[in-house]
Amino acid sequence: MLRVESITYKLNKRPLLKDISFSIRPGEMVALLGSNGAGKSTLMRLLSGERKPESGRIMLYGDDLRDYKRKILATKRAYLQQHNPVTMAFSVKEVVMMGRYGFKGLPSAKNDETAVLETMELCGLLDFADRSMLSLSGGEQQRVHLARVLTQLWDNPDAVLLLDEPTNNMDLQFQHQTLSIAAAMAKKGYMIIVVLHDVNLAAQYASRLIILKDGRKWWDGTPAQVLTPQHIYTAFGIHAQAYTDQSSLKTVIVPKEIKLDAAKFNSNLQAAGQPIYNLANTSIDELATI
Amino acid sequence: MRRLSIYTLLSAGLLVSICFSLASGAMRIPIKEVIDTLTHKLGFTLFGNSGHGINQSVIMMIRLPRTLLGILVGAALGVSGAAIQGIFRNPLAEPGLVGISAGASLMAVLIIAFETFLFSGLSQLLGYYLLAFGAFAGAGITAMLVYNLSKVNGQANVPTMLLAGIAINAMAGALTGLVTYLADEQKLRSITFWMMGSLGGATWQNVGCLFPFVCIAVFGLPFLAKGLNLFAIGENQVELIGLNPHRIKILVVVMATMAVGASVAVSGIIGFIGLLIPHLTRLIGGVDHRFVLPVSALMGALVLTVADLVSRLIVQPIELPIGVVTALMGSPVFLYILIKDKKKLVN
Repeated sequence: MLRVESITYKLNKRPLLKDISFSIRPGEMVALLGSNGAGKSTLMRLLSGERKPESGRIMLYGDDLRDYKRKILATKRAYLQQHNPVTMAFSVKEVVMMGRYGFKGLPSAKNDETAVLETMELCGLLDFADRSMLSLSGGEQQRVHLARVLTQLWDNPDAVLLLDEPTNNMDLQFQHQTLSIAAAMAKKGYMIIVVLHDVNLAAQYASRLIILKDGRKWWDGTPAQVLTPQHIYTAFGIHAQAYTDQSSLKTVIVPKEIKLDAAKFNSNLQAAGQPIYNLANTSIDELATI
Repeated sequence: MRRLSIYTLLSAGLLVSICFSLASGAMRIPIKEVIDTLTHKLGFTLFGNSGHGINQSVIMMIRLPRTLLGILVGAALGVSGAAIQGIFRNPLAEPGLVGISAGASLMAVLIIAFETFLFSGLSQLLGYYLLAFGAFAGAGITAMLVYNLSKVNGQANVPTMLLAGIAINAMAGALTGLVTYLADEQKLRSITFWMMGSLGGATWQNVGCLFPFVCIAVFGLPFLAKGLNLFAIGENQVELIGLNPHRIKILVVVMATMAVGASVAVSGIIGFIGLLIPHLTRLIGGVDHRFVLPVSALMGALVLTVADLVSRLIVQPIELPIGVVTALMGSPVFLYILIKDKKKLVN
C-alpha cells in the first residue's frame, strides 16, 4: 500500500502543500479534486518523485520511496503527466514501447511485446502504430502516453498508477474509456491516483475522493460523503446541488448557472445611468446577484 | 531490411569516395594503382603490380592520412551532433551553432600559443594529446554552459540555446582571432584554419591521436540510444521509466565533446556537419537513436570525404577551406528546419 505521511512542500518559501497524510490500499481508485492552485499537481509531482517533500515521507509497501532502486520503482509506479510534449518524430509504437525501456535484463522483459500490443489495442492505437507522434492531435497524443504508462505497469498489479488530468484534450468517449480502464485496473489490485477537474467524472469512476484546498487536505471519503453542496462551495466557490442518480446510485453534481449582464463588467456596454462595478472588490458571483 | 540496405549503401559509397579521394588531386593517380597500393600494403596483390614509387608515396604520405582524417572527423561530428540533439531534444543543437566547437578551438589555440613557455619539454605525441584534451575541456565547458543557460523548467529552450550559441561563438571567435594575431608564431595556424576548418594538416600522427577519441564516441554513444529516445518524451520520464538521466547526460556530453574537441584540435571548426548529417539520417530512416547514432557516424564520414574532395577539386590548384563547402551544403538545411518548425520555435 501507499502511505503519505504528513508531507509538506515549499517553493520559494511559499508553502504549496501543508501536512498532507492519507493512505491507499491496493484496489482503490482515488480522485484528487480542488480548484486551480490547490496543490493537486504538486502532490502528484511529489508522489512521482520529481520533487522531494520538505518534511514527511511517502511509503510504498513499508519502504520510503527514496530508498527504492530506480529500476525496481519503475516496475511499481508510473506517472502520466499533464503535458507530454514530444519533440522528435517518434512512431506511436516506439513511444508506447518506451514504457518498457527500463526492464532490459529483468524477468518481465519477456512480456514486452504482449504489453505493447494489448495496451495499444485497448487505447485504440493499432491503426496509428506507425504514425509519427508529431502528426497526432492533442487528444490522440494523450492516448499514446496513457498506453505508455499502462504498458509500464502491465504485468504488475501491485503497482501505483499516477494520472494527472489524463482526460486532457480527450473527447467524451475517450474520457470515459480512460477512466473505465483505470477503474478496471484498480479492481485487479492496482492503486490509482487521478487528478480530475470534472467532479462528476470523478464521482462516477473513483471509489474515493480527496479534496484539496490551499495546499491542505480538506475532505477524504466516498463520493457521497465528500460531494455535498457546502463542500463544493467551499472548495470551488460555486453553488451546486448534489443528487443521487437513481439507476446507478452515483452522486451527481449540478452546478447552478451564473447569469451575468455584460454591462455590469464592460464599461463600453453600459447604458447611461447604469452603476459601474469594480471587479476588484466584487466577485463574479456577487455581480450575478446584484 | 531497409536499414540493412542503408548501411550497405553508405558503406559502399564511403569505399568509392575513399578511392576517388586517394586518386584525385594536383597529381592524378589511376584508380587501379590506388587499389594496388592499398592491397599491397594490406599484404596481397590484386592486379599484379604495386605501382610507381612516387605515386605510392603520395598516397601513403599525403592522401591516405588526409582521407582517414576526413573519415574520423566526419564520423565524430555526425555522431556527436546526433547525440547532442537528443539531449537538447532539438534538431538545431549542433556543436558549431551552440558554440561547442568554438570553445574547443579557443582552448586549442590558447594551448598552442602558450605551449612554448609552458610545456616546451613535452614530446610531439604528448603535445597532440594535450591539445586534444584541452579542446575537449573547452568543448565540455561550453556544452555544459549552453545547456544550463538554455534550461527553463527542466527543458532546453531553443531560442535561448541558439542565442547563447551566438554569444559564445562571437566571444570565442574574437579571442581566437586575438590570440592568433598576438602569438606571431609559425606553428600557430592561420585564423582561417580555426574558423573554417581544414584537413590539410593531416599526418599519420594526428590521425593516430584522433582515432581513440572518435572510436569511443562512435562505439560508445549507441549504447545510450534508448536513454536518448526517452529524453524526447521528457527528462523526468527517463527517471520514472528506470534509467538514470544524469548518467546518460554526462556520458553523452563527455563522449560527444571529447570527439568534437579532438576533431577541432586537428582540423579546426568544420561547421554544419553535425546539423546536416543527423537530419539526413532521420529523413531516410526515422528518429530512433538506435539507428540515428551509428548511421550518422557512417554518413558523416561519407559526406566529409566527399566535401573534402570537392574542396580540393573545385578551384584547382587552390584548395577551398572545407568549412566553405560544408556550410554551403549545411546552411540550407538549417534554413529549411527553421522554416518548417517556425511555429513550434516561437510557442
